[in-house]
Amino acid sequence: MKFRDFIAAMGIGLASLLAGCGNPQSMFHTAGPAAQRLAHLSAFIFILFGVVAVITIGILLAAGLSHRGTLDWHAPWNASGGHKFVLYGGLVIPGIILFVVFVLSLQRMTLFPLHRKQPMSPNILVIGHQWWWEVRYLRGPADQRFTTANEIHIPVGRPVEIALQSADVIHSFWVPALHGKVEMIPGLTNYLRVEASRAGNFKGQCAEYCGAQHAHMRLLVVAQPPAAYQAWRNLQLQPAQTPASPQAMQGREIFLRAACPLCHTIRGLGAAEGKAGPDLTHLAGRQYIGANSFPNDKADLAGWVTHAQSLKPGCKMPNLDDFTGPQLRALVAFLDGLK
Amino acid sequence: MSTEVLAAPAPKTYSGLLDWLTTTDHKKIGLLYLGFAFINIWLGGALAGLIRLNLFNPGWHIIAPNVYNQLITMHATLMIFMAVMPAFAGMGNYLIPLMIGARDMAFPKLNAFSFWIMIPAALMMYVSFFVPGGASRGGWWQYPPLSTFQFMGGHGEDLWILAVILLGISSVTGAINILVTIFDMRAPGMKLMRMPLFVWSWLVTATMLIVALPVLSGTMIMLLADRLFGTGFYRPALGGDPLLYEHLFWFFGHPEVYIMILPGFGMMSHIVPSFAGKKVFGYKGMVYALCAIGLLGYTVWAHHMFTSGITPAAQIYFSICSMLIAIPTGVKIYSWLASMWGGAIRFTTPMLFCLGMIALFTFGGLTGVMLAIVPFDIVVHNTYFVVGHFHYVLVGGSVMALLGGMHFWYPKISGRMLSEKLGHWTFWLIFIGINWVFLPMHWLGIEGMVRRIATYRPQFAFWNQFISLGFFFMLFGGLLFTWNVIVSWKKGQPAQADAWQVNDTQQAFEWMTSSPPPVHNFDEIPAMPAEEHA
Repeated sequence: MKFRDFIAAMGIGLASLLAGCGNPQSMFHTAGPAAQRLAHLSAFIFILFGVVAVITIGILLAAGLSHRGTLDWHAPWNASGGHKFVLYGGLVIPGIILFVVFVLSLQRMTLFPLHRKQPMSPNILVIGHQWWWEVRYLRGPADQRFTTANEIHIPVGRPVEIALQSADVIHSFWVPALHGKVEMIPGLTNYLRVEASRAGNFKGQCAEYCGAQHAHMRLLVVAQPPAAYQAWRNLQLQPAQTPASPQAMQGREIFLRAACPLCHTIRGLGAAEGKAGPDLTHLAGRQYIGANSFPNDKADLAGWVTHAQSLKPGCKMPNLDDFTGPQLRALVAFLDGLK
Repeated sequence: MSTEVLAAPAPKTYSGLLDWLTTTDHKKIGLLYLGFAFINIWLGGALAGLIRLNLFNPGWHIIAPNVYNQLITMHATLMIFMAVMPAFAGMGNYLIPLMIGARDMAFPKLNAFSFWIMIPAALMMYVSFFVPGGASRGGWWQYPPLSTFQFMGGHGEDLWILAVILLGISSVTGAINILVTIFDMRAPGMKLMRMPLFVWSWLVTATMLIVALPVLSGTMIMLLADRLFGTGFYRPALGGDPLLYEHLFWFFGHPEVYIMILPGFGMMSHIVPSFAGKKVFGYKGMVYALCAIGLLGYTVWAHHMFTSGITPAAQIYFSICSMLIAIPTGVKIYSWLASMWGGAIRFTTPMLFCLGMIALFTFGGLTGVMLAIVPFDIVVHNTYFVVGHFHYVLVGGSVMALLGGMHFWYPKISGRMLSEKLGHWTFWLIFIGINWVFLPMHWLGIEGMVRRIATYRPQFAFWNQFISLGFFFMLFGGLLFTWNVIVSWKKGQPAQADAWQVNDTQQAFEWMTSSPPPVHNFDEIPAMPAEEHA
């Protein structure tokens, strides 16, 4: 056990060395117990199979280079290299290695509450759409539930059960720092239990090819200390803020008059109840737009509203480019004020 | 035979192009297959070049995402169905009758049919790029609901499905032909357990084709019906199940992997001992290993679905079966090593390709076993780690074995030797290229880059640029090989019947007849030597 941990630690050290300054999407850059156990096993597997590969290729080189032949001379066909060679190399040693690896992997099977028979009481329901993530917080009475999009907040140190569904095609939920990936299949519900051991922003990505903008179906999980998480949660439960400035007030009118409410919901804003696109009630609190593809600032918001089809060709958001300059500025001021 | 041969009317003979269009000679059909594969490996390679161009920089949209998705789909389709499979079918067509001492295939006309039905399929694939909506962009798995009409309009997808069904018909009729040929047309005295290993490998492959391909055809017909005729086999809104498609597709898809490597194994088992100056080591073990791989290949399909939410019981079962395949595969690799051990190695071009194949395939095989481990797989599933893995197996394994085989049997086919010097250069370019391009992909996967994305986050930029540059190794390697094949056809050194002097240690029928063989293959069907070899 200890030896294995040592090997795993070495592997992770080596891997993070190769990774340079530590890429937040790497399987070795873990932030939770499940991912950590997976990373340990993976490091062990890397070293084990690396050794096997080196030995086999070593034998190949030895066999190849030890004895050069010519066209005229060759060894007798039954020269050395008995059956034992194949027996050990091809049967016994692989058998032992496979057995060890299999037992280790069985130990990790407990990590996956994936099967649908097991009763679940998920905290969060994530629904995949082409090409964004709908996030519904399910726990508690109706007034404690809310819907957001693309950015999932979880409290540090508490296991969170996530139910995974899809509204259209097959997607796959993957946040490498927290856990392995699970497909989101229309008509079925899959489950994943994650836990963050430290606070941070953990990047994810849809991991099942889902059409034109598969590359821009990115995900962000924000793990916060429980107090900060509770504060975020309380804010999310509120309806949208009343715009603070006259400009933003004007922007709200523009939002309601334009096509926006057909697809987007802003709670507390009467007519805006569309369900086809992400909920925008607290849009300004999110770090990115376009399913975590572009930074959430005024410039990118303006670009997104007017030229979504250039930024993310094929996405459901149309180019809304018939605003005047002041109208666009007002609209962006309104969106940017949805804290 | 005691009965008289019926006086059949002399078959019409043509010359030139008409001869090629009407031929039923297994050698000419084999060459047609090889030419077809040759064209498609270049087209598929060109698509790969475009893919690498778009991935050179993060955030590049030289190629629109929708077009990029067509590129990845068609790259896979061309390489799998129209390059590697026809290439092996071509080698099988050409060599099996020669190796077993037959004058032709069992059904020469069916043989021509198997080839010619691929032509409309290929045309449909090419034309699909130009129909409204473009070629299929569902990825070669075509997972519904993405591949249903609701999410993927245009008829490129329908053309793809129809073309794949035609290619399936070609493969199945070809496989039946090969199987009957092997069972019925062996020279006197050639028992099953004395057949050359390439023939054995095709026996297993043909069996796999006959079982697996109809499943694909059925799956695809249901998908086509879902798209065009309003059925709901895979559409959840109509009570269908996308998971059902995954099971059906991979029930075909995994045996397909072995269909694309086993004939390569067979070739290796001829080339390695030939240039070690020994007989192949552990003939029986090799045969049993082939059969074991062929059987186990059907029991492992859902290891492509570990992340789809199948039950842990299923995960464990498919994990065990997938790992078990490592054992017959290990037997094969170690038997090749044992075949070399103590021998005197001649570093000819075919041998270099085989040595390279052993190294690369061992690597790809090991990453394959890693992927069979459920907890590891759910981390790297659908990342570039998997892309790296299967390119090591398919390019490092199948294509390297194919190149080895083509260099090895080219003198038999053309009557001329390929240039050894160019061959060595080809080998090193391709060998370095494969490692340059596909090794860093494993690293990208570990770092979290998922596959089938038209653009990526900036942290993956360095290795993607590195990989894109490696494309040129493959390109120049391919150009050299093409040049070598074309120039040597007329100008290479004339080859003897036993071009590589292998029949000191083997009694291989194909090296007994002239190079190239006469239309009737053998003036006199060779006799199998007595069982006790030298």
